[in-house]
Amino acid sequence: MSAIEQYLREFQNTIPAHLRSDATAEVHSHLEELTREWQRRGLSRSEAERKAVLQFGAPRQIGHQWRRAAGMVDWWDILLAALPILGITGLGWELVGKFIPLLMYLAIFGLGALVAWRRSWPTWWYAWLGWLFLALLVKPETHWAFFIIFPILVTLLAVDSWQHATLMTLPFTTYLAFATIIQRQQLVTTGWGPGNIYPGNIIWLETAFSILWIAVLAASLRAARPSRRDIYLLAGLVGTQLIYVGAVALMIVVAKSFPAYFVTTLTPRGLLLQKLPLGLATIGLTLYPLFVWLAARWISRSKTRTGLPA
Amino acid sequence: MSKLDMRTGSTAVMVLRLLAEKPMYGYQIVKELQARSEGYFDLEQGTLYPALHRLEKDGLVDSNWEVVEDGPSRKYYHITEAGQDELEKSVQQWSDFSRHLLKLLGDAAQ
Repeated sequence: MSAIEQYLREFQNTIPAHLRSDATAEVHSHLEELTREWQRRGLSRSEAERKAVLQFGAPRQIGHQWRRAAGMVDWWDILLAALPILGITGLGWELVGKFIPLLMYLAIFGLGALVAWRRSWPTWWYAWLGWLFLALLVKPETHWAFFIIFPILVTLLAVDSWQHATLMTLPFTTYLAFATIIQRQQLVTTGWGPGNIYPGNIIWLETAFSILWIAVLAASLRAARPSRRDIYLLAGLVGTQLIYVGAVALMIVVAKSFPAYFVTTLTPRGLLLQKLPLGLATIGLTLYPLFVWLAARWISRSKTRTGLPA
Repeated sequence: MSKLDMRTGSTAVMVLRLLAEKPMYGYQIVKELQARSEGYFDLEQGTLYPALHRLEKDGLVDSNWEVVEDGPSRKYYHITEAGQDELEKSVQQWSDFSRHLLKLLGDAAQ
């Protein structure tokens, strides 16, 4: 295998499928031109190819830059974006919330901010920003800061990018779904199933929900074409919340049908009057950045139209 | 500050400036940049393409493939109307920036 063939093979592995053939053809064309230049200077074909490949730059590095230019998000970014959701699940497991002091929590996210700043504020940072704000809710003394700053920041961010603002609200929609749609002790398993391992809670449902949510996040961020990212993200998040509300309703049915195995304090009336409105509020929070963005666009277009000569 | 740091952000305007003269393909752009800057802008050649791709995604350049008889096909880039506007804006910004910087450096040297 020639040096160019080897280079192209490695390069192709780093490029998303929808860009691959065009990008590879372009790199091939450039390497061929460079090789011919070195041959004209007296090198053999194989030496010229090796020189050309070296001059072009490392295939992984070039591929990485190309993916970034195309708006692609790496798995590393997805893992970082998913961390707040994992953190929320951790709170559900009562490991993070109880044992990690607030200072350590802030130090971790402060370090994250430093990395994000060095990397020009990548996508995952917005999810982290939401997680940071969640810290303001932990202590009652800082509630006021949260309720004043957070809505303003989300609104300002949404005017520019509703996706980033949605990522920022993600820890809260996740938290709302966990903390309000289902409350602890509302469903207690008495016979079999994970409820025996973690008595008196439904952590397995929270964990499954987190996995689903992370899958939505990964699918939307890794969408082969960034233009499809918006619809993946929105449909995925709203869809996941609807699934969650549906799961709660199903659990009531199951608990009422098998009282020997499940004990529940949830009632259909409670579901309709308390849980459903909260579920809808959660979906509303997910959609809020999109509404702000659409409104901002509408206002900006109206202004442009007004400014045009008659 | 390294030369690489100083070049960050200027690649787009340099490429747009070249394409404002005539459509060019990647290899030709690299060679022109080297020749006109007397070797100062000797960039790692592969890094040009992500920059071109970004310009294309932003609608500042357009491209088409052309078949060459005795060599590999070439992808030619053309500047768009939006690219022309962006170039004018960038040239103005860079001129202001370099004028003020040189003034400041001149004052510091005295």
